[in-house]
Amino acid sequence: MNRSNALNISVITTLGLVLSLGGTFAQTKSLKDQLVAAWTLTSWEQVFKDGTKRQDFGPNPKGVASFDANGHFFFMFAKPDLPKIAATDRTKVTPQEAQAINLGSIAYFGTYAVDEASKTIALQLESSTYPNQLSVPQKRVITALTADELKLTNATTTAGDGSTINFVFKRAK
Amino acid sequence: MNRRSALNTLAMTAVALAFTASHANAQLAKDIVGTWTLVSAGDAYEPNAKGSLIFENNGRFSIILMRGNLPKYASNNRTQGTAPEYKATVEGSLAYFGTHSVSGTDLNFHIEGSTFPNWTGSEPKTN
Repeated sequence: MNRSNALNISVITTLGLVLSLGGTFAQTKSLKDQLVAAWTLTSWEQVFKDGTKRQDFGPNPKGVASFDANGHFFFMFAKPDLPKIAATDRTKVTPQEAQAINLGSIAYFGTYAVDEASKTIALQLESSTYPNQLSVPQKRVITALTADELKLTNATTTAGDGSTINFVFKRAK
Repeated sequence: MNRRSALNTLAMTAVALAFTASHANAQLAKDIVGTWTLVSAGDAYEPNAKGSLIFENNGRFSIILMRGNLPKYASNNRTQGTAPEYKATVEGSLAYFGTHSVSGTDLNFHIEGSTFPNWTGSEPKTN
């Protein structure tokens, strides 16, 4: 390969990388500015170290991630078919109902900060339906952010088992 | 707390924070937009109630209310809680989200998901 060909290839490679990155991250605004919105959950999947996968909220999960301009966030994920509480009173929940609700839903909120360089969102939790989350610094890495789609990963699960949760959201209309 | 009183408490909190008497009703839909931090939700979530209420200008909302002293799970794993831990969570927290609209002084919700599953898919109205 002569020098001119090598340069051409490297230019083409660079262009290819820039174009593919352009498809994953819009480039004109900061990540923080692009993030501010309500996002609807389309996929939630936990991947364990041995490769096994789990969808705690089912194949068609319901959920939302909201980020506001002042730095507040709210996350909630739930199975669409959680059992209703037969007593229609949350204080009279049966053990089976309570277990199903907790296995099939989670909600937490607080404040957030975006590190643009590492594409990482640091969450400062105010509270969670799973309070153990408050003991582990919660980080979400942005792996894609376009006008329509947001993808996050979470490697800060409380169990510390090396698993990663992959979230996919679409911008709420 | 029943559904009506829970929603009324929320609506009143939101309206008291967002609304001043000089505004026309049409202004309410605009004024309610924002993130609101819970100040009080009655006795149901004491002590140290925590909560947040978000209304977005595209009509999305989310609400979360909870006791400040919910128990941590001994297993440190959300899928391996004990029966008392799960019960305490359900009794001491409530979160839901969906879309909202304002008509006059009525606040209408369409609930898409809730930790109180009886509400999922419902369309409560408050005023």
